[in-house]
Amino acid sequence: MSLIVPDADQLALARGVADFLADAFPLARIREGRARDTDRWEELAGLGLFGMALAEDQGGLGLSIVEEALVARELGKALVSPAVIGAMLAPRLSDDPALLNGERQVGIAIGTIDGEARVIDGEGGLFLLIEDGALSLVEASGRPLPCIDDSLHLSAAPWPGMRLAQIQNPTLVLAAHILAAALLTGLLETTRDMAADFARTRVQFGRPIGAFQAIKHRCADAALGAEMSWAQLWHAAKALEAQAPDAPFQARAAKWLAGDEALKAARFDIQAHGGMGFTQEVDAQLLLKRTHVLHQMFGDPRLVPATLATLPMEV
Amino acid sequence: MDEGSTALAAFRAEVRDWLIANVPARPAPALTADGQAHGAYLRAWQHTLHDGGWAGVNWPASHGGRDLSPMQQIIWYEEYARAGAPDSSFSGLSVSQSHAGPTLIQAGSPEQQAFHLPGILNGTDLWCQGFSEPGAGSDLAGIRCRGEVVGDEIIVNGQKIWTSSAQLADWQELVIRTEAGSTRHKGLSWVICDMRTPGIIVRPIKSMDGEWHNCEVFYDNVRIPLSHVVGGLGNGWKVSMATLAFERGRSFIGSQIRLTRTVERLIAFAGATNDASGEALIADRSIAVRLGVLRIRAAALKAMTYVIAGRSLNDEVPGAEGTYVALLLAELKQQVYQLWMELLEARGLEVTDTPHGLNPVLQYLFAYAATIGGGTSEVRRNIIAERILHLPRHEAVAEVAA
Repeated sequence: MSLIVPDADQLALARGVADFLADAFPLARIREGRARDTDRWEELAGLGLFGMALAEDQGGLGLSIVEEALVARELGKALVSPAVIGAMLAPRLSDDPALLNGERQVGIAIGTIDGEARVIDGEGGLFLLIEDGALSLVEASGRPLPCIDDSLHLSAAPWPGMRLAQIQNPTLVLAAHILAAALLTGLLETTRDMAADFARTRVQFGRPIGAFQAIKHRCADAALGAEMSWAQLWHAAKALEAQAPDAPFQARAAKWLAGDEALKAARFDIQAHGGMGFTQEVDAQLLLKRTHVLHQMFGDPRLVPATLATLPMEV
Repeated sequence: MDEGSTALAAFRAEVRDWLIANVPARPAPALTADGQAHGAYLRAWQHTLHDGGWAGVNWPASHGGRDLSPMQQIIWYEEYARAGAPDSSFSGLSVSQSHAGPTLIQAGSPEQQAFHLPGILNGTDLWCQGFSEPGAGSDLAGIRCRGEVVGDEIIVNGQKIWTSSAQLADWQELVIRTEAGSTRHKGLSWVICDMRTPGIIVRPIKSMDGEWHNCEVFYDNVRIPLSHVVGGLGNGWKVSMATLAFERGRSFIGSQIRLTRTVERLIAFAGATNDASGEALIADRSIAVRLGVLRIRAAALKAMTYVIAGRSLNDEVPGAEGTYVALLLAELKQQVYQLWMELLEARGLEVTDTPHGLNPVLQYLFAYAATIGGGTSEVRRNIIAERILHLPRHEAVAEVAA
């Protein structure tokens, strides 16, 4: 297990992305229905975020899954579309420069159900699908479905579909799990902060509601969940970078844990906001819906822990 | 582990070899009302550590410690837990080694250090902690046990409770109110109390697991030399906080490894035990899911302990984030043994003679203490919410109401 915490370069990278997102991708963009994230991929590509782990002579930054995870955590805080996982990984499957520079949109498949792939933000007719040990870049236009998170485009594409490229690469599959875990960890951190900010400022019975332990303790639980998710994400990314034997357990544990904790926090955030939490005038409902979307990705969360009960793990 | 050097790998091998050769084959005897067998076991083990040069691994060499580097300490805690060495969280060991000794190093006078530190290091002396009182449990600032300065002595009257292992201790770190009329954190003093002083009565309390973990201690005109005050009269609160920075959360690693191993033992049990229909328990998907959740949470606990340990390498003092680990460790331990008790079915009603540390029924009962002793889960959540999230303090509510 790694003892190394993020170094100054890694922290600076994450900080740079966070600063950019705070200006360019504020949460209000979603509430106000501004341009969709996937239509703005060129802005993120301009920062070098797609294909980060490719060598520099292949158009990448020569970095590793550890830096990708730190960046994805920031993308998660800003609720950038989960399709960004497709955008970040697609250049590893195809050398089409339009993928690297963000001109060509890539959706991300949550998984397959009832003989169809369920795809997020796949309107461009291309999506990345993760299966056991393999990744496929699939060209298909799916049937649109109304999505619980209406800031995202959900579609159902016939499966098996037209594979543009496919690679057997268990490491890259685990990288997808790590990126999803990072998006969820960031989302959870935003949720924790939203609940705590409200608990500090909303006054009832003559004092901020955060002074009451019934609220305070659930804020603490959200904070613990965020700390657990971050620590597990970091160590999973380091384990994958080092090709540790228990990387499959660590990566999938990071993904499941962040989803489970994010869901608990998002549910509490709505409750903490009272009546307004039930409306679409505050973002609590959006955080919940986005959490559901991410939690369903890459394996049924109801059953994942049973698989992880027996995967090899270093003690 | 990023060992980084062959020197560290060699150190790990040295630690492992020594522990294999020296860890006692038999587990610690039960903690009985008189505590003598348990105490003798702890003294003997500490004596063995001392003879081997492994006493005070995080103590400075100037005070007789081994003075390991932070990285070596982490390796020591890992190998110590993996070797199944006597649980360093046994109160007789932990109060002496991780609290009383470090407090004397940080705040004691040269005379106090010279008199007490050697006996702590070589296992001659075991210490207990006199902090909690009937009216000062989670709210430690409510201490009322009083000490009146008369000449060159302090006359102590009052009561302590939840003093772990007082029945076997030689010395006590005793926090009393030495300024009449003072309140809260002011007017407290930290004094060295000889448990053989006339006027002290120790009444062990039987715990729900059948052992005698805690005691009440009564003080009836107990005369303590003024020279036994540590850090000056009235500075007791500050002195009692002095050790918080000492081991910087590294010893969590040992607790975490013990808990992770317990989860693995539970999973092995569920694989080797059949239900009434003859199927292994783990073949039941709902049980496998619950085992997996515990394992995932144990992995996160481990990751958190290493994040804190990693920060400690940069000489950062863990602040309130150590509370995250303490909270998760305590609650996860309870959840693990609750599931184990459930999977035992009616077998769990029988208390076998398996030693306490490996007996899931006794550990299940003992785990109820985890979320109470050393800070309740409720207080820990307050700390996280107030010091990390900066929510308003809850005491303000009580003070307004009063």
